[in-house]
This record gives sequence, structure tokens and C-alpha cells, in this order.
Amino acid sequence: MAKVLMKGCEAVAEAAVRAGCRFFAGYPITPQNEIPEYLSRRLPEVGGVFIQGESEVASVNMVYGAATMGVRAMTSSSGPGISLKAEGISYLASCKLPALIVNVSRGGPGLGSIQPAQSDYLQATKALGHGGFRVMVFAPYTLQEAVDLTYQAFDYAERDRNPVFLLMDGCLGAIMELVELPEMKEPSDENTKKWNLRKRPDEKRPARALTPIYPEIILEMENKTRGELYKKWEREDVKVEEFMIDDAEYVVVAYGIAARVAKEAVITLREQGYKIGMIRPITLYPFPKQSFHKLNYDKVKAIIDIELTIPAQMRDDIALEVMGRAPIFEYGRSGGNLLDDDGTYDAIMKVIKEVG
Amino acid sequence: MKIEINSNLCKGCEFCIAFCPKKVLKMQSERGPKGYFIPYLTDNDGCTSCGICATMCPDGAIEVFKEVETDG
Amino acid sequence: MAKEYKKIYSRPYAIMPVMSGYCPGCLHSLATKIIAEAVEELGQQENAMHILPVGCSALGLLYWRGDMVGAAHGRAPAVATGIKRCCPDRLVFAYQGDGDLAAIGLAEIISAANRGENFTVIFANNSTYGMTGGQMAPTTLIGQKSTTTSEGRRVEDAGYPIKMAEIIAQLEAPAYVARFALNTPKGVNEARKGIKKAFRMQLEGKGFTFIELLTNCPTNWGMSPLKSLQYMTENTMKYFVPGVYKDVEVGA
Repeated sequence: MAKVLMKGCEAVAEAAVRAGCRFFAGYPITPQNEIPEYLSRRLPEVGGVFIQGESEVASVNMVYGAATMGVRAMTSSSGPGISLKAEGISYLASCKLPALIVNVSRGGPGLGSIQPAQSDYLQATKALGHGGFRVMVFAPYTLQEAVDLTYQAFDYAERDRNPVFLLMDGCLGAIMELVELPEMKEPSDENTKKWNLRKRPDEKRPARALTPIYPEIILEMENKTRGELYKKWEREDVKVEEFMIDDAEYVVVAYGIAARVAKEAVITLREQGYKIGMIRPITLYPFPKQSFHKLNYDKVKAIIDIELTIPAQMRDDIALEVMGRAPIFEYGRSGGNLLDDDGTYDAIMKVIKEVG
Repeated sequence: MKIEINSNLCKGCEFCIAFCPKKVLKMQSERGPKGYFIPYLTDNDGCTSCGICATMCPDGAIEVFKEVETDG
Repeated sequence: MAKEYKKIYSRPYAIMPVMSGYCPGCLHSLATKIIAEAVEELGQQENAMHILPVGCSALGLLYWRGDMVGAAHGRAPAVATGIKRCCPDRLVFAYQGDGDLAAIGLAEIISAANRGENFTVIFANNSTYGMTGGQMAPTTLIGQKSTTTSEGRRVEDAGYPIKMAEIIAQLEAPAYVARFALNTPKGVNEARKGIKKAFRMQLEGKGFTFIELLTNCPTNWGMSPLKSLQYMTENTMKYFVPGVYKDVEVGA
């Protein structure tokens, strides 16, 4: 299929439509406005529903309603709005409803800035809402990857009956790249018909309830099942790019837009003869733990965590796997300032000189 | 009887007694199976099957019957 | 001529044959019962979709027989919006209490009403947060005591009880807005008719319908069930005046 030049937000929106998404509700916030704008035009063309909600809170709950009907549904926002959606995301998880939530993240905390930043790693991977649930967090670093992950996200969400989170940043949302769009899927509630509340005309079936509240015993059982699901993700669903790590003495860890900049520096340093590689988590949760355990720590002199946020947020997850076997350094920019090639190269070089 | 009160559903709120236009309902002196006092019909002939007791019963505990003549 | 008894009334099928979780004399039970009756009278048992909120009104989860979705606190109109837009043929209604609808969920109810979403919201107003133990609600009357206004609600601190039916009726989009009191047989019968009318209008695609039901809370008001009905007549209904506030089928 021919490639088309698309803007990040619009490419994600189109990929969702092609995955069978037929419901979007959202609230304006920069830098993700092109997603609702695109879908306000696109969804009606395919018989879908677009609603501009009165708030992020209402929007995520509209998605919750649509999901109970077995309709592929999504919402998008940026950091401040994701905080507001936290309630609804927790309810989606509690009620075991599939949905796609997109965060085109910006500088934080608070209103922060509207420029790109990776300031929501901890929120996305540790606590997208109250109650101790987890969601799969996909972090693309090209628009093609964003399209592919969006397209797959609904399948994962329905397989697991759990929301899926796509963590982009304002840079990926705004840039334009050539993408190959996947084929158009017909909407279907095949995966959800065992539990969804959709009813065909004249269909008779026992009444069904979908609720976010449980008796104690049931809730404990549900939470045990959730725990097992998260472990299964770690075994089966980790996505990671391991780039020249076999003989690496220096290992850069970066995801999303930061990985894109960091990879350039890694390539340059390799060309200069340094044994350097990179681990790029594509699923931030489940975190690619095994990639850190296959490193040869007799050789590894430094792990360098590069993120578009200060202080680094992924560092704790890295440290849990490195287990003190190598020193961890961090480098980043924050506040909406971007990483650049020279600054990143220099930061890595500084570490190389420091550890020898 | 023209009304039947389900003692497993009744919570003894007394709405039926208070709103009965014929005043033919009264509380029993013994508690029902769920620990609530349950009303009873004191005068079946005095009851007109108007159903107001059932209308006001929050818990749907009252069934209403009407006396009908049959050929048989 | 022989005589026999013919059953002329029994509880509606749409409520389970179990004791409700509500306190003795609680009009939430009565509201649930007449909603079920309205659904049945319209032959909509299979088609009804009940959205439950947070608070005592959510106890319907253990009581209602039919498709149900539990919503987050105040968000029932947003959840109902998602459901109804995806399945326009279902009879969709949300049942919300006063804290849920008139405090934390104000944005959702006003916005859904203003969009003219084609579903019905039934609003049980008992002037208290019953489930959490009787704190002041947005609809607590001036002077009415609660666990957070132990000397009675004061205008200086808490403003005035909010009149939702009147507010919703001010919007352009809603098709039917009415308030009924469930403390008398007449009020109950009118409320049942009003709910049935709202459901019928929804099925005819006429738009947003809103029914406010004045209810009680004997437990948290600290009175007997019968006394609570009297309190409603003497206080609640003087401030929250029952009546039809908007009806596009009249004078249109």
C-alpha cells in the first residue's frame, strides 16, 4: 500500500478508525487537538459517533458507556486532562471495559507547558487512577509505530478487557511522516459479545450488569485475576527494541521521542568506535525487564537513562532490573524544551569519560 | 383475603396502615421473619381492594385481590 | 354464584423478588418500584437500560432485574450519552440522587440536558447524602440539620438548596421536565404517569426528559417513616414545588 504523509495526531486517529473504532469523546487540550478535530470529520463518514464532551471527566465516561455496548471507543488528551480522566480510567479497569486512551504529553506538573515532554511516565505506568490497577502502555517513537500500535491496541484491550494507553508526546503528535496505513476493519463486537450489553432487535438473553463495584470476596478474586494478567503481559506481551546491546559497555535507555534523538547519538558513537547500544522500551508497561538481564554486566560500565523529563522517571524501573550491577546515569530536558543531537551526544560522552 | 403481605419483603414502615382509607390494616404484635413488625388486614369485608396500600408500599410487599363472581 | 379472588396487583417483574437494601420507609424503594411499573406498562422490560450512580440510588444494583451499568459518581448522564448514542433504540435511563446529580455531577447533567440527549434522567431528591451517613446535600433545606450542618443549613455558609427541575427547564433542549413528590398516593400515581410519559417521549425520539422525585430519608433525617412523609409536605414541597416545568407536547 502506498505511503501517505500524515501528522502524528491525525495518523493515530485514522489508525483507530481503521481498527474499527466508532466512538470518540474528548475535550480540547493542546497538543492533541488534531485528534478530536480529525475524528469529528472522519467518524461520521463511517457511521461512528464523535462527541465533544463538557470535560475530560465526562468524555472518558462517555467512552465507558460506549464500551459497555461493545463499541470500540477511544479518548485522547494531554497530561492535565489525563489527570481528570484518571477516575474514568480506573472505572474502565474496574468494570473490565476495553478502550483506547491516548496521551499526547506535554510539560508538567500542573498546567506546565504546551510543548512536548515525557512528563507522564510515572502516571501512565504506575497509577493511571486509584485502586492499584495497571494498563498496557505503548510508547511509539515513529509515526509508523504509532499507527501500528494504535491499530493493535483495540485487540489487546478486548482480549484483556482492560483499557490500553498510548503514550505519545507533543513532538510525535505534531510532526509529519510517511506512514503506511493498515486496512480498514469492519466494526464488530465479536470479541465482546459474551459480556457486552448490546442487544439486537428481538434478541432475548438474561439481564446483564456491568458495574464498578463488587462484594469483597468477588473483588479480591477479580484483583487476583488482574495480578495474573499483569504477570502474563510480562511473559508474553513485552515489546522492546534492543539496539546493539550484545557487546555494549554503555547502554542507553530511552523511549518515544527521546529514543529517536538518543539513537542518533548511539549510532554516531558506534561509528567512533565506542561499544554502545540502546534498549528502547515500546511497552513501558509491561516493562522490558529481560532486556536488562541479558546484558553482560562484566562489560557494562554505565546505563544512561535519557528522557524528555527532569528528574528522570523511568530510572526506578531500570534500577530494579539492573540491581546495582552497573551505575545508572540520567540525562534529560524538561519544561517543553527538546533534546538535541549535540546536547545528547555530549551528555553520553561525559558519562563515558567519567566511567572510563 | 383481599390483600396479601409478603412478610419476607415488608419492613414495617406503616405507610399502608396510614394511607388505608378504610382503616382496615393494623400492626401485628409479633415480629415477622426479618425482624420487622408486619401489618395485617383486620376486616376483609371492609377492604375495598382499592390498592392504595400497595401503591404506597415502598417494597412491593403487598398483593391486591378483587372478589369476583364466577359462574361455577 | 361462587366467588373467588382475582389478583389485581403485584410487584413488577423488573424488581427482583428479594428485599431491597433500602431502609424501612425509604422512598428510593418506592421510586424503583414505580419506574419498574412504567417500564412494564410500556412493554420495555427487555429493552430498558438502567444506569446506576453512586450513593443509595445505586442499591438498585441488587434489586433491579434488567440490563444495568454502574457509573462513577455524578457521571451517569455521560455514561448514558455513550450508551444511547451507540444504541439509540434502547430505553436508557439514569437514576441519580441529589449529591450525584446536583453537586458532583452538575456539569454532566446540565450538558446532557443541553445537548438534548434522547434519554431520561430520574432524579431522587431527598435532601441528604444518605449512603455516607447524612451529610449536607446541595438540596438540603435551609435550617435542615445534617451531620455537617449540625445546627441546620445556613445560607451564609452553604447558599440555597438548588432547584434542579427549574434549572433544567430553563434550557432550550429538554422535552419534558417535571417534579413529583412520593409522599402521597396521588403523588406516587402522578409520578408513575410522568415517568411513563418521559419514557414514551424518549421512545418517540423527542429528546431529553427529566423527572425529579422528592423522596425522604427517615434514617438520616432522624424520624419515623411516617413523620418523614409529613416533613416533606410541611417543608420539602414548599421549597421544591411539584409540577410540570416543561413539556414540549403541550402548547407546542
